[in-house]
Order: sequence, then C-alpha cells, then structure tokens
Amino acid sequence: MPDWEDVEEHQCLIEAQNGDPESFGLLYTRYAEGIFRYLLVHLDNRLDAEDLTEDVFLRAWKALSQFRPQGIPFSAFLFRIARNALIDYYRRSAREKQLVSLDEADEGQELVVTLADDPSGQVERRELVSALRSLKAEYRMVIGLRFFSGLSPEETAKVMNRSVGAVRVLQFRALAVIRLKLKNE
Amino acid sequence: MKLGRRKIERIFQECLDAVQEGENLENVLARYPGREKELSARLEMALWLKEQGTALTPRPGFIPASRQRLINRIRRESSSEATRPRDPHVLKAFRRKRFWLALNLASLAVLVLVVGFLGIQVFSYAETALPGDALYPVKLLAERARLETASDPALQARLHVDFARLRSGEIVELIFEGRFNYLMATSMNLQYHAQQANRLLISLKSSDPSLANALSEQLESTFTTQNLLLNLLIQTVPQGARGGVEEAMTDVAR
Repeated sequence: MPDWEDVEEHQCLIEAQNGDPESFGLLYTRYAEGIFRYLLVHLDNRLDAEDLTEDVFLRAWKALSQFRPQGIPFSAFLFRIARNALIDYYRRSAREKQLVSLDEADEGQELVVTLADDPSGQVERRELVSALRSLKAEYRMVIGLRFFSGLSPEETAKVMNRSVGAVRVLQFRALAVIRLKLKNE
Repeated sequence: MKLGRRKIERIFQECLDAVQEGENLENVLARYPGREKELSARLEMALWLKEQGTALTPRPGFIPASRQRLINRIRRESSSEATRPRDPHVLKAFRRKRFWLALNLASLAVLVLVVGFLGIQVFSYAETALPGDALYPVKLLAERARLETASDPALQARLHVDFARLRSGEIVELIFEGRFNYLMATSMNLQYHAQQANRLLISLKSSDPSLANALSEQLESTFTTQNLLLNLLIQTVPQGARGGVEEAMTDVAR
C-alpha cells in the first residue's frame, strides 16, 4: 500500500467530490484491500467479499457529495458504509436462506476461505475463522478493523462510534478471548 | 507498582506501536517488568493476526480491474445527464470583443447588486434545504460558520444540539420524500453533531450543570422522538437504503 500524505488524500477527496472519477479511483486503490479483508472476515467466500467491496465504493461515491471531514476520517466513512453493506447483505441472505439475524446467521456456518496456494496454512486459518465466528460482534469487529484492515485506534473508534480508550479496552480483551479460543481448538 | 486496567491497555497499545515500528519485542517488554506474560501473549496474538490478515487478499488482478469497472460505471452514469444546447446566435455575439467587455462590466455590476440583495434571501431559503438540494451546501456552510464563530463551549454545545435536531428532521423528510440516497451521509452528520454535543456537555456539567442538563434533555428528546418515527418508517424504506436509517437509529439507541 502506498505511503500517502494526508494532504494528498484530502486533495484526491476534493477532486473526487468535484466529480473526478480518476481521483476516486486512487482512493479505491488505497482502501479496497482493507475493505475487502474486513468484509471477508464476516462473509462466506471471497467472491461475495469482492462483489460487496465494489458495492461499498459505489455507495461511497454516491454519498461523497455529502461527506465532510469534520473530524471523521475518510476511512471511517468507508468502513461505516461497509458495515451497513454487510447488514444489508445478511438481511438479503436471511430472506433467501430463512436465517434470522446477523449473529445467528454467523453461527455454525462453514467459512471456506480460499486463499493463495498455501495448503499448509488452511487448517490454521479455518480454526481462526471458527474462533472469529464464535466471538461476540464487537470483538470480531475490533479485530477485523485493527488487525486485518489495519485501521489505527483512532480510525477504529470513529467507525465503531466509541472512544479511543474504549477501543483499546476492546482490543485488549478481544485478543485474550481469541487466544483462549484458538488454544482450545 | 500495580498497574490499573486502563493503564495496562494503554501500555499494550504503546508496545504494539513500538513493535510495529520495528523495535525488538523483548526490548519492548523489558520496559514493563512483571507484565511481560500479560503483554507478550496479546502482542504475539496481535502480530499473528496481522500476518494472517495479509493472506486475506482478493484474487490477483481484482483491484485494478474492479477499479476500472467502478470508474467506467461512474463515467457512464455521469454522461447520461442531458446537456443544455447552446444558442448559435448568442455564441456569435459573444465573439465580439466590445460586446464581451460590456457584458462583463454589466454582469459585474448586476452581480454586486444581486448578491447584496439576494444574499440574505439565499441563506434564508437554504435553511429549509434538504440533502441533495442545490442550496444544501449553503445551509451546511452557514452552520459551520456559526460553529466556528461561537465563542464559548456552552454556545457550541447548544449549536450542536440544534444541528443534530435539524439532521434528525432531515432524515425523516428524506424518507417521506423517497430520497434514500442521502440517508447515510445525513445520519453520519447527525452522529457527528451528537458526539460533539455529548463531548461538550460532559465538560459543561462542571461549569454550568443546569444548562448541561437542559441541553442533554433536549438531545435525548430529539433522539427519542426520532427513534419512534424511524421505527415506524423503516418498513417504507427499500432494503438497500435501510443502512442509513439503521445508522441513525444505532446512534439513537446509544
């Protein structure tokens, strides 16, 4: 991922808000992988995560004219859209598969994460996915945002609508819980 | 020295930052004797999770291809907007220098008069603008100006409470008008003002508790009323747009 200055991102945002799709494309390049990882932690498969990643950015483009920094980083804006896109996805899936809620739909599902050619890692990752699925939602979210998508504590706080201190507490506890779950797998 | 829970969580974050910046894990842990086990277990898990995360990638080539798809789609949707045809006679006239100069001067004079005369009316019309309306940015600009010129925290808190109430009303109106595209951004703006208001009210409690309580009650009342309405209205919102409503309701439920 390129090491961007905040001012470059700000400039890209201004140009994108003025209607320049190429500038928005640069923002896409910066954030797409992080959004994809966040979605993949919650979804059944990579293809769905890819489709939803595109959907998230399309929604972001349509909402871009209303976006104002005002203390909310663009990353937080994107991840909030991603979170709501996930909610919509699960409601659609629930209608199709007659499941009831986001958390209930999570339980018991086999998550097949098709990774790059690395069969030796697949068992470990399956256990990780199983452990993640058994976490309570806010622990899963903080782990997804902080360690898979690489958001800072401050950005994570904006996405989760919590204080930075609360995020530190959540991540501290979440790491202990997931470590225990993986140990017991 | 026994560390409190808050302190250990802050220390953990500092250790994590240090390790991610390249410091050796043992050296970092050595700064907190007696806490190595508690910190190292979590640090190792955090670093392992980050490593696992890097393996969670899209298919090769997905990002550049999907970026191009996104840009193409945006361009397609933009180019479908109709453009106003130009009058060839007017274009001919514009090429005449004298006419152009006279028009420029006249335009400037008219502009000065119009801006002065209509400026106040523009701002007053903007007060009723909704997200997506041409004058809505003017409305937000006026709000920002009021916040930036507010001299004391009590006034700022009052403004944030007022603006949160305005956003709440806009959300309901957007739903009634079927303008669902703007729900998400408006909900986020609502959250921003509510957060700022809460932050200011916490510090205001010590200096002016009665005002802080009054404003807190106003804020809570705004959200209670909105929550009742949104619970009724959400069924009328298309599935794809309910995220914006839920965003506002999530804030309300806090």
